[in-house]
Amino acid sequence: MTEENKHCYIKEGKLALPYQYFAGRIGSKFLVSLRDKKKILGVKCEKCGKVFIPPRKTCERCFEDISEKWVELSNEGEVTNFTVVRTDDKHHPRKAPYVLAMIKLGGADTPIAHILGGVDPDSVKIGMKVKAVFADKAVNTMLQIDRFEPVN
Amino acid sequence: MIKFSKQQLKIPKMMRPVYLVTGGMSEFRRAFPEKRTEELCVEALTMAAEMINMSPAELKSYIHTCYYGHFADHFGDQLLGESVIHDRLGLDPLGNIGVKTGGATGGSTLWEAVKAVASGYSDCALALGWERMDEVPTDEGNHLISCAADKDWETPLGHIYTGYYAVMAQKYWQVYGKSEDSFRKTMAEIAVKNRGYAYHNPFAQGGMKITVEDVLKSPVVAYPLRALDACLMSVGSACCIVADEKTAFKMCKNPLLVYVAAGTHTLRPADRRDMEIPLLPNETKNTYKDLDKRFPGGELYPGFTGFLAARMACYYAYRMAGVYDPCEDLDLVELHDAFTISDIQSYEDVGIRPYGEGRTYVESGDCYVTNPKTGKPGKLPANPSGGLIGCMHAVGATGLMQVCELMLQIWGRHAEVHGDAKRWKSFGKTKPKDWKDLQVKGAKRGLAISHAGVGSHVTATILVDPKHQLKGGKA
Ligand SMILES: [Zn+2]
Repeated sequence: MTEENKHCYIKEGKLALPYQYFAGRIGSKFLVSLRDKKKILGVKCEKCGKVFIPPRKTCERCFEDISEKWVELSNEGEVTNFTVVRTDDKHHPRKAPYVLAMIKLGGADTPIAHILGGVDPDSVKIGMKVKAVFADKAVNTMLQIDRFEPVN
Repeated sequence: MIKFSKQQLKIPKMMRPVYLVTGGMSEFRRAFPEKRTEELCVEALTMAAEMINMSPAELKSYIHTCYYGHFADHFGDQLLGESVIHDRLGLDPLGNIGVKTGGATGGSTLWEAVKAVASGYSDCALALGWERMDEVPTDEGNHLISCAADKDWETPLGHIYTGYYAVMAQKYWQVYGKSEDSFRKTMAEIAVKNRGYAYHNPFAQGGMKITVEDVLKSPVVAYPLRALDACLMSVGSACCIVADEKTAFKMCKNPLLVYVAAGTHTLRPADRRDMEIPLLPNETKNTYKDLDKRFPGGELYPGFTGFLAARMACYYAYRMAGVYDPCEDLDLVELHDAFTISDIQSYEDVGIRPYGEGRTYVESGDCYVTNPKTGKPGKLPANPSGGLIGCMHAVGATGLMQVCELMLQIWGRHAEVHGDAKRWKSFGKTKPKDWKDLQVKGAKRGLAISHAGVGSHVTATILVDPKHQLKGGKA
């Protein structure tokens, strides 16, 4: 350390930021259905036909209010993409190694990101058929689906 | 003594005139647990489309670049919320950028959009802002917002803006208010007026019928500022669509010329250096030659009591739009009344009154839609929306809400929108039986001031009905 830098102070700081997350009326209906009925809901724009999962109030292309156009999606789908997380980090939801996959559910137009468990990470393949495994207790986030697992 | 160079004082040049085509707002509330931010932004854009009888999809088809204003993205664990909104509005693959200048975020967002059109880069641009301040309790919100103050030397002394403004208020009251009780009452009148106007605004969060006594009896936050002197903390969204002349007249019958200029000043009021007062078109050196005799302690500019950023924004904007005397050339203003005291300070910065005489704007009754002293229309009504004290302060949306309100006034559609019982109902409210039309009769030109921090960033936006353009205004 140089003489000039010897007296440079370092002050420890911490910005606490507790906050509430509002899922909104539509997001809440989606989460409640996952929690209480173990059913995955989307909304469908009748004008352009797109099925949105997670659901939203307005189709961004047609600007139609689609908040009441609920459709039930299959709890099963297929892997369209994946990676294996191999580093541990206190902010990760699982211990490494775990599989982070894009999964397209039956009846959906676009995939969702989720965790793929119950499988050797090295044997995951694109096109693999997977099904949702729901959390036992209330989580009230996307992790209300605890993970996906291979169908067989 | 600081002097500005010619280059610094150049009047901003736009390569072509820019028009406001339309604008829209969501309702504003302290909390919207049932709505996601994207839904509020969709509401704002949908209203903008409805105002010019377009579908949102049709309006979107004109937009070429997007400017998003959102300030406190550290509140809710979502950095780059701009991308979320851009996605939910279906505006990909257009270029977008986020703008962040504290309380002036809304005005700065419009500034960016206007420059994009003025330069020729875009023929039509979207400026849309929002704020989600219900994720945290009010005290945490005040704390987190004041992270925008100087972390090295100021925030350790108090993590709340009211404290900073209170110090200015004390100084202003001593020098220009001559420590008179009547000055404190004049401050309170602003809080009464703006909450009273908000009572007639269906979008507003804080409409209230109160008296000067109520303000003076409300709890002290930091002396002399009391709870009812302060603005609201709000959730909501607002947007403006701007375009070049050809596109604007294709999109709607009566687009309004729009001019925006910006100024800044030191983050810490204590760092301010003395300078000559930058003069507005209707001022001369003589205007202030005996300021120190009339108001001892007021000889140093900007001292602790003026907002140089607001003065500079108007210095540029008035000359762009051809405004000589704001009281004569403008028909109404929407000012950034973060606190009653900063509202009075701003009257002087923007030239509604010369420095030192801001209080007379209220005391004369000029700032009212109907002058309570004469029963006649006020000379230059301020904040018929209710402003930040009565309507909302959803930071990223605030400056845009002000411009939407000016637009409605100049279009003569204030009552159509604010007096619509269906709109009140759609917000879950009942239109008051004693609802009052606050349309400023014959409004042709208006000014909105969007202001940050203790005056760190300010934008001045001037809207002009093109049929009533001022001589000297560039178009
Ligand atoms: Zn659609």
